[in-house]
Amino acid sequence: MKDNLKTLLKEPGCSHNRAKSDKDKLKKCSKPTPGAASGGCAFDGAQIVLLPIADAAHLIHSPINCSQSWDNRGTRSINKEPFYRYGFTTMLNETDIVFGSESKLLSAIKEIDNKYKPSAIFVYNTCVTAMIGENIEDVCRKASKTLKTPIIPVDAPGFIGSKNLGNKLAGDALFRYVIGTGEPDYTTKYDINIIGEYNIAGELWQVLPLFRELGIRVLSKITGDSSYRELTYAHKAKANVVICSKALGSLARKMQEKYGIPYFEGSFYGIRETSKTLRKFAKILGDKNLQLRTEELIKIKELETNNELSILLPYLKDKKAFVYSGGIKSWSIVYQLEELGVQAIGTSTRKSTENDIEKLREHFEGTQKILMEKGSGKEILDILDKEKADFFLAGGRNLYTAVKGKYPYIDVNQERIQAYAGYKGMVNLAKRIIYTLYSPVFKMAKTDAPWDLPHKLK
Amino acid sequence: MATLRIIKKSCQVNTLKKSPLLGASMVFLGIDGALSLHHGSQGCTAFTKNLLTAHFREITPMQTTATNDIATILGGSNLDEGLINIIKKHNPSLIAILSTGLVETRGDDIGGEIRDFFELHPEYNNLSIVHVSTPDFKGDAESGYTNAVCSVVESLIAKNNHMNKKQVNVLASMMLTPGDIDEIKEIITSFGLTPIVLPDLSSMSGETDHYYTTPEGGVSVNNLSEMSNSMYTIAIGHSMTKPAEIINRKFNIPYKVFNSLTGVMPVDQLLSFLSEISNEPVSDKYVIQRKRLIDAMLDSHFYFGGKKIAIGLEPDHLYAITYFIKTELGINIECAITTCDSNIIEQIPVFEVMIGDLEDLENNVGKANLIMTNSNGKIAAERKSLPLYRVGLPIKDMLGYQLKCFIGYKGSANLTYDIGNIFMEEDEECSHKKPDIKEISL
Repeated sequence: MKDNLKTLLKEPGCSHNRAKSDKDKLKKCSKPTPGAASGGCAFDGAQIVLLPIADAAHLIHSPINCSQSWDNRGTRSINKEPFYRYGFTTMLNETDIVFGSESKLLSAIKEIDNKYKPSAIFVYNTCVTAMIGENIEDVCRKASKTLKTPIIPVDAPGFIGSKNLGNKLAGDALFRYVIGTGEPDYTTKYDINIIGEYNIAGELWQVLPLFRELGIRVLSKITGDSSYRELTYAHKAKANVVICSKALGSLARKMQEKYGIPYFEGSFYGIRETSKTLRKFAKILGDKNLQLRTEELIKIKELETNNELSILLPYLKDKKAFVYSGGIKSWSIVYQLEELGVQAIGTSTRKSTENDIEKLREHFEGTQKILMEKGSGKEILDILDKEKADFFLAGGRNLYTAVKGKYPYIDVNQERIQAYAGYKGMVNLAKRIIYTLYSPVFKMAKTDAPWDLPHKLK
Repeated sequence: MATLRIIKKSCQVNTLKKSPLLGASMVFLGIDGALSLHHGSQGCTAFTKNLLTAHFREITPMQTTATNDIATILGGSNLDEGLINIIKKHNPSLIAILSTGLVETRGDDIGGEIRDFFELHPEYNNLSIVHVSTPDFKGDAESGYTNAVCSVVESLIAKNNHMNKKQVNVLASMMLTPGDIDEIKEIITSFGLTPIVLPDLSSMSGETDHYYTTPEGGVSVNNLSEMSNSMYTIAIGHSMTKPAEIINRKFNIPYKVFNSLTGVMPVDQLLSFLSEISNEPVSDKYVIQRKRLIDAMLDSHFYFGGKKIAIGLEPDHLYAITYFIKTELGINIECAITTCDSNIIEQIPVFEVMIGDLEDLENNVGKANLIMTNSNGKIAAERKSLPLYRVGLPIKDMLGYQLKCFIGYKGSANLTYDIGNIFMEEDEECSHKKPDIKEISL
């Protein structure tokens, strides 16, 4: 794992890293500060990437704390019995830790295989099992041999780093153990993969019909609403699009190196970005006819969407919003808001790549807009107050920051249950903003109780 | 009455159990200005915080030492650095250092580290730091919660030794909702007594109307130090016996444990007890509420006969709910699942209690008409096409759980009606089912 980690931390495909000196490359993106850190660990990050594979079971080899919050992801699947809603764990006790628990792990794998018959089992290493030196790779190899089910080790214990590093380690597990182990029934000239889209609240379902209409076949969805099998033949695609570049950019680069699949970074957030991503596919697949069809579809869809939005936009005109999110969403949501006529007063850049930040710098050039690295709830509320923001978009962790600050709020993190992708997603986003923005509740929340108004009562 | 069976298997599926770290963290959300610092990797805190935030629908302040790979292997100054950072940033009234699987496996001497910290930083000598051992691999959320309450009362120092005849300590088990805490305070106050509730999680019901970085509105550290002067300690929930004993040993304060406050008999006992120690009569309000509870039970009992419930809860909570629905309402328990061993289990009025997960609950659901457990029971309920009555922790998919009250005559009547309504609907639906035409035609 050590070698692996080194390459991941030096990821040449990550622009963030390319800009760093050799010495800086060895440093981790950012070391969390004791007593002032928030967010998940590497193990959490690995799960975010792999849990959407809904017909595979996800077994957490750990004591209870790592495995107590199951069924809490926003990912959705058409699979009948989506295993991402299940929590499988070896739930280690004291004896397991003293005497080792590799045999317990092996028998847990067998139990799952026997009872639930998943198409594969992902086994997650965690802090405690890594510390007591459990050889999960070995257990998985043995189990794979005796059972017919592929058993995949995911070596991303929490202490190794942040959620983001865990995303990358999960991508690495897919590359090493899954991709390239299967073959599709047939291939076409128009086979593509979508990488780093997790079908949160069914967002992928908002864009898949577009590909269908264009005759582009999404061969493997990595990993939103995917089946294990479709991941095994992802190497047969003709092009890759990376949605969350910081998380799985390295996977796309490795697939290019090994299988010669070209890739580009794209986004389905906003009308312009969705159209741009479709155009890029048409171009990369190198088919004149497809390009023409794409232009036609874009024209129809944009017209449709703009029509639907026309009655909504007046309610959003000149409203001010602040975005506190990470990675691709730091800029993609800003673009989305601007398309709705909302003024973005600023955004955060945590977890964003240099590329993402550069995009924002260019976009915000010549304005007084805020690029916030990382802020506490209080700092965020101060900005909202100071800039007279009308509403606020952020991850679930800041939901109650917004509630306590009495600001209208839109959840944009991975646990949300509203979908905002593609053309349809824009209409939904506009509606959700209007619903919260014009709720009479905020007026009531800001009224003082009669007894707090002494001049009136006396 | 009940025997305990531990379900033997290697893989737990859909756990009912939550971590001791989570339980202990809850205690410090109920102390005004306190902050817990989890000594472990940041994921330990993120998972705990996510779950509690979703449950309470409130900001749940807690911090992490964010122990990374290097610090894990070499040890290091993460704890010191974390302490200094939270003191400077949040100025907490009390700091609780909670251990995790990571540092417990490494075998850290946290007590020693705290002593070293005070030696190195005498400027913080006035600050109270308590340490709770909450290894992931031992016990469950209820035991972690109990350990935390024990650590807090162990740290208490006797104050001027002047007994206050109008003041009682209340030790509140993890099973109680903020709504329950409100109710117990109201009941005690009605006897002219002043309760000091540890922890006072009524603060987690939405009363803080501004942003905060340490919990507000729980029991104050000042009031905690007054606990040594109380005339009695009332422990609610069997798991609160141990901290009540500690208070008794340290300050010679008598205590009484109420395993449950749900149902006619338990509330009768509480009110008689309070009347006795306060020398005050039971107020008319409760005389009326008792009559209403009995009426609720009479109104609903038509729907209870022959009904069965599959239930999964922590030991204290399992006892309280099971006692009421089985012994006083007459509903049968098809299966009872819990998270951890506890002395209260043998008193649960069922044949057998299993330590298991929600997969076991599903497998043993038998002929149950209703599942009672936390909101994670949804999957089992869907698969078995049974209604789910949400109780316990976490309740993630229901608004207003925090204000729900399950104790006192009032809370017991609410629960009676809630369950009665579910069964009444089932009976109504059943009566509308059309029989096979062949069987009834002449």
